[in-house]
Amino acid sequence: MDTQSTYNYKVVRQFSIMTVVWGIVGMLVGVIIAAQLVWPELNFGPWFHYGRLRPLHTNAVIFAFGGCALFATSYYVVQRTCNVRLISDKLAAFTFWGWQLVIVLAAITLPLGITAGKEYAELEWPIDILITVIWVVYAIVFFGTLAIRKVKHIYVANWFYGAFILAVALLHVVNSLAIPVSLTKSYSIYAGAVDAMVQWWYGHNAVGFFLTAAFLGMMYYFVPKQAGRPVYSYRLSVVHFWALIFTYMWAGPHHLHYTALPDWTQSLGMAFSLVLLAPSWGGMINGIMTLSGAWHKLRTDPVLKFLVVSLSFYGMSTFEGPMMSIKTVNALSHYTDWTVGHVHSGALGWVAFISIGSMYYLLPRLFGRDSMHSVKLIEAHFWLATVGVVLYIASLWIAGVMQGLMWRALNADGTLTYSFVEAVKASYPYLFVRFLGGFLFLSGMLLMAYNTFRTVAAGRPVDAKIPAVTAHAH
Amino acid sequence: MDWTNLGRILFTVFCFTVFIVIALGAFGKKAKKRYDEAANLVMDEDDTPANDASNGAKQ
Repeated sequence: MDTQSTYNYKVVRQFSIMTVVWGIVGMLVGVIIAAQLVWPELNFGPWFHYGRLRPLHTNAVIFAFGGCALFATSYYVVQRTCNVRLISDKLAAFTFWGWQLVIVLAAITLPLGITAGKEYAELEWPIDILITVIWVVYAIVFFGTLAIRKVKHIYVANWFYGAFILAVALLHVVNSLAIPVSLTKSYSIYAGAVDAMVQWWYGHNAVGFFLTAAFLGMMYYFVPKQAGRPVYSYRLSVVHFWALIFTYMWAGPHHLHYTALPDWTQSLGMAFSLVLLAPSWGGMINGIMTLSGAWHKLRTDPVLKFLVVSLSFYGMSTFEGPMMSIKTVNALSHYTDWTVGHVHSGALGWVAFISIGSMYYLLPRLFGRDSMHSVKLIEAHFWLATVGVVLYIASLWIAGVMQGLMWRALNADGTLTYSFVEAVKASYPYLFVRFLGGFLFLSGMLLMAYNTFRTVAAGRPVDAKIPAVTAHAH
Repeated sequence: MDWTNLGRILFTVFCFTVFIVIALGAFGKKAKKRYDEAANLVMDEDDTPANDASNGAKQ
């Protein structure tokens, strides 16, 4: 077999299949913990208690589902846009098996209660070191492939993927610095307000670079390809990239409004969060306008629907985010379910939708098929997912605002009008609707799994040949 | 004089200047042709399975 003349689709296939698998696992855990909030009797023993399952859910959906989707699409996009096979098949395979090992270790240690206690960075130090090694190898494969590219220009999607790989390396290493006391316990080297600031510098940039920049890379390749039209404005994509990169790093402090963090730092974080609206909407408009002249395709193509609706949710949550970072708004929204709803309009509406759309684009191509087994099932998946997200975020808006108002309500004599548990009790109906929304979203993923299974079973793995000469536009 | 702080300020100003230069460059005339080619490059590269299967399917 001449590996030089074909693309490495094997690693893309592996990551794509695992995207669907981990998506279902992660979202199932999400539905379970949503049910636990409605029916507390569902908390079984220490291992399956909400407090231990919640980090399992966040890690599984962000790093297992989202991570596998990013590995798969970045390896596909970098090869196709550089007209060259990945620089090393062995190293690429190492990232696949290494990443799966990290996910399995997370699934074992988190329910056991082994945690560093940092949100979205719960994994203990031995796993952190393993992640670092895999990430360095990932960087070698990605940037190494860019280095041997046959096309002079580096396509904008690769810039976003590249920024994601570099920034996540920096964030992960700095935030995870800790002093181990045993194999399963370590203490962060930071303390007090500095610890909080480092944590949310990490936390918000995990949103900015893992959950945004990288998925924008996906957007800049798969939206034009599926729509059959080039990016609306390439120069806007360049400005979009640098504006996003220069701004995101500053926004972390908005997670720490009205805490021990210095007041000026909070205001700075708020100011940059407001500035972020510009690059976010620039990118969203660029993606949606790519469809101008091809709007009719939306009627018949559910894959395109996934991609375009993902951009609508991206626009909505990147408007909501800056608004929530305003201190006076944050005084109402902070610590309520509004925040949880906001995260999910980004995570389900944007990240999951664009990943699902990209997977529906990729899977047939990886298995030598013209399209997925059933387009009708994709359509059904789209509507289940859309209704699910809308139910989810609308119910948590109501619950969140209600909680915020009840917590701050005062009697004429200055005492609190409501006890905390009254706000919890009033939230129950909305928490049930949230569970229902999550359940619908998960059902859609099950349809996707069946559709994927049938597509894979009917197809055969292919490794596409690399075109000898790059076709030029002019 | 707090040199660390001055360094931070200068770095921030430097980043902002670089961004302005990049933005101006992106909207310059020279960039337009290059960008149009780059945007179309992806579209010209056909990755449909039928095309791939005819010239490169294996197994």
